[in-house]
Amino acid sequence: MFKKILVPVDGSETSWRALEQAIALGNKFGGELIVVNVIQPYNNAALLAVPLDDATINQSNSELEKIGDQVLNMAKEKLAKYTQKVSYTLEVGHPSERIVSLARKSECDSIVIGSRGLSSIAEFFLGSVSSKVSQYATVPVLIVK
Amino acid sequence: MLNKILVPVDGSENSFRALEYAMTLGRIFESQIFVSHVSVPYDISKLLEPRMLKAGQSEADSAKDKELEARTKAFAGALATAKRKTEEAGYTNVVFREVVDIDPAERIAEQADHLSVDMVIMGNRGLGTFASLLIGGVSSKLLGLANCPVLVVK
Repeated sequence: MFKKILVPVDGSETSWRALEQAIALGNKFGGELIVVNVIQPYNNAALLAVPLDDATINQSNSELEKIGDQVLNMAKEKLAKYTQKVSYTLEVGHPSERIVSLARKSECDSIVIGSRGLSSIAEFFLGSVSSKVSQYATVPVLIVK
Repeated sequence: MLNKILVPVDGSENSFRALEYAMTLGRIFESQIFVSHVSVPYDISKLLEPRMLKAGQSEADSAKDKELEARTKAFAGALATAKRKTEEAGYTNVVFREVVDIDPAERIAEQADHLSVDMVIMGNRGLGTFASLLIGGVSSKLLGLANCPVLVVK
């Protein structure tokens, strides 16, 4: 267990706390970490009511990519002293779907994720991404507050 | 790191898989495991899922009754089964708690706080819609209420 841990991060404080938990578990079990940031491009989100032309969408998407890279760089800094194997990847699409899919593709044995991320739209007790991931992932999911 | 682990059980196979995982993890960290069962103060055998209430065949009726009976037994005997499993696994550092409450999620979250556990390990679906019909998705509610990390086992 905890030999290959998928850690989704989005730059929120909770996601950094999740990363800390993943580091602690990885250190104990000699685990490899796969750090992922998922960017959700504008043409996928519920902004369909706003008329945007292709140029604007492409510009926004490349901005999102820059932010995604920044988030991964922040993760890299936090993982500077991590001694086991670690890799970073930027994914594009629907967050929960990408996370569950990547965990399966990379054959991770666990996922460590923050309970609430940056988006706080209409969420009561629990974030939508962490809740969906915990339901649909086939491996154990550790949800960190 | 993981000194205390809380494992809520409801008699479902899913909840016992969470217990197995907790014991495997607990052995490595030498954790004390708290196994908790919240029994609800009403007659579960009187609760039926909407599907089961559909007007239909008589075979379906008797099958539905058997399933209901099995689930009621599983729920009632959750702690006893959990005790047996820990004994079989040779895990001795374990405490069992039985509580009666109308809201299991709240009660379990409260226990987690009160005991200052380092992690809650639980299944994602318990006895299914059967229990969640009235209780309302204990797992998902508990996920949000708990203040410590929660490990969800399938």
